[in-house]
Amino acid sequence: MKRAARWFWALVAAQALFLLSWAAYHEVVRQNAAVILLKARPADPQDLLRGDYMTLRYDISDVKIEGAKASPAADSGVGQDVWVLLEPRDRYYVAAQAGRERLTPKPGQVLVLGTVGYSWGRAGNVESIAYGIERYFVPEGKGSPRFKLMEVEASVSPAHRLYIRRVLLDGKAYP
Amino acid sequence: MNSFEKRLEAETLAWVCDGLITADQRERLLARHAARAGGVNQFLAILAMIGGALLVVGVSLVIKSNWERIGDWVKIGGLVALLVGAYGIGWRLKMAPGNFPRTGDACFMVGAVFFLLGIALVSQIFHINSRPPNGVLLWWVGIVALPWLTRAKGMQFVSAVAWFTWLAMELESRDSWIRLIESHLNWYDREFLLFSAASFLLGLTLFFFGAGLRGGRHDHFAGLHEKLGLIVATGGLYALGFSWSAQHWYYQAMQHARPGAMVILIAFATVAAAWAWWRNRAELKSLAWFLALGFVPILATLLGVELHDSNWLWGGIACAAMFLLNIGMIRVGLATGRESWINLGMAGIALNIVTRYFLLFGTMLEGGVFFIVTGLLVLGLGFYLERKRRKFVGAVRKEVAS
Repeated sequence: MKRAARWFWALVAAQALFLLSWAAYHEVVRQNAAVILLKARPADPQDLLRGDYMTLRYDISDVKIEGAKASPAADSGVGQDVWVLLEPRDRYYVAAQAGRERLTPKPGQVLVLGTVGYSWGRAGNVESIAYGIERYFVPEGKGSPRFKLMEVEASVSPAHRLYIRRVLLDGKAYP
Repeated sequence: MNSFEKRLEAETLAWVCDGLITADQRERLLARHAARAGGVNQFLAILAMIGGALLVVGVSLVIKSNWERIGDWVKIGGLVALLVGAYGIGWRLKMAPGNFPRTGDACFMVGAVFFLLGIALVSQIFHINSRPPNGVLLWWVGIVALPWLTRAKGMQFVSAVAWFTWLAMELESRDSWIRLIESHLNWYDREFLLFSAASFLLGLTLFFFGAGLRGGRHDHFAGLHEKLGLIVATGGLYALGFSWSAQHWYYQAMQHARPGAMVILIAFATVAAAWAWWRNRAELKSLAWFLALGFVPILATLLGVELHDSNWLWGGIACAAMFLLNIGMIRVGLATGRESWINLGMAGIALNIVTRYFLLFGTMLEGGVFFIVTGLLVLGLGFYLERKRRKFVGAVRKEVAS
C-alpha cells in the first residue's frame, strides 16, 4: 500500500509538473524569444475541445523546397520536417530558402522548422508548410472580426519552432 | 423508498418467524447496521448534494463570465489545483481510509479528465497547434499507470477510451505512419468500412487483453476490458453490415487498407490473443468459434477483396457474424454466470434484427403497412427477447445462489 501510494503521488505530481513546466516553457519563449512579423490571412472554423479558433495562412506557408522532386499526390511527404530560412523584406519576414536538410542562416536571417502539410493542386516542388502557428484561439463568439490587414507576431523558440505571440488586425492586438 | 436499515429490520423479523435465524442473530445483524436516528444524515446528504451542485454551477458561471479577465497563470494554476484536489479526494475516499470507494473512483475519473483539460488549456493559451492525436497520446501516457495502482475501474475505463481514441485518430490522420488509407477519401466513399473493420480488430485486442487478466492479480479489470472489447467488436461488425444495403444506391469499388496500418492492427490483436492464450486458454477457447466468422468480412474489407456486383456479400456475412458473436456472448454468459454478457448479447441480437429489417423491408412495403408490421415486429421481438433474457439471467442468479 505504501509503495502504491508513493507511485500514485509521484505520477500525480508528474502530471501537475508536466502541465506547469510545459506552460512555463511557452511563457519563457513568449516573453524572451526573438519576434518576427508575418503577413497572414484567416479562415474561421471551431475546435470542439478548445473552443473558437481562426485558421491562419501565411505568405511563408507555400515554399519551394530545394532538391525535392515534384509529386502530384496531395499527401506525399506529409508530416516530414522542412527547414526554412526567413529573412526580412519590407515589414515582414518571408521565406528565402527551404530544404529537407538543416540550413545555415546568414546574418539577419532566421531559421525555422516546419512540416510538410496536406495540399491540393500542388505545383512543381512548392510545398504547403505547417509551422504550428496555423491556429489562433479566440474567446467564444469573436471569431469573425472585420479588418483590412492581418499580421502575426511570432516568437522563434530555441528549437526553431514558431509560436504565435500576438495577432494584429489593422495594427491593433486582437482580441 | 425505505432505507436498507429499515428493510433489514422488516426482513429479519420475517426470517426469525421462518426459523432461518435466531432472535439473537437478528439483534446482532441490526446492531451491525444500526438505523440512523430520524434519517437526519440522509436529509443532510441531500442538502449537501443540492448545495454542492449550486456551488459548482455558480463558480462555473462566475469563471465563464470573467474568463477573458482571468490571467493565464491563474487559469493554469487553478486547473492544476483541481487536478491534484480530485486525485487527493479520490485517494481519501477509495484508498486510505477508503470508506467510499465508488465516489473515490469517480474522483479519480475526474482527475484523469482534468489532465486532458490541462493539455487543452495550455495549448489554447499558447496557441500550440500540434497534431491532435499527440495530445490524446500524451493524455493516455499521463494516466495509464494510475488505475493499476489504485484498482480504480472508472479511471481504467477512461484510460481504455483514451487508448482507443488515440489509435482511431492516428488511423484517420493523413500524416500518421499508421494511417488506414493512402489518400484522402470523402465520407461517402467506402472509408467507413475500413474503419469498421479496424474497430473490430481493436475491440478484439481489448477483449483478449481482458481475458488474459482474468484469474490474475488484476482480475478486477478483466470484465471491463472484455465487455468494452465485445461492444467495440460488435459495433464494427454492425457498421460493416451496412455495406450490404449501400449497393441499393450505387456501386463502389472496394478500397484496401494501407499494409502498415493492417500490420499494426493485426499485431495488436495477435499479441493480445497470445497473452490471453498464455494466461487463460479456456476463456479464449470459449468464444473463439463465435468470433471466427467475423474475420471473413473484416479481412476481406481490409484487403479490399473485390467481388464486383456481389460486394454486398461481405455486409451479409458481417450481419451473420454479429449474430453468431452475440449468441456466443449469451452462451458464455450462461456458462460462466456473467449477466452483463447475456444482456449485451441480447441487445446486440435485437439491434441487428431491427436494423436489418429496416434495411431490407423499409423500401418494399407501403407506408401504413410498413409501420403496422414494424410495430408488431418490434413488440413481438422485444417481448420474446426480454422473456429470454429474464430466463437466462434468472438461471444465472439461481446457480449463483445455489
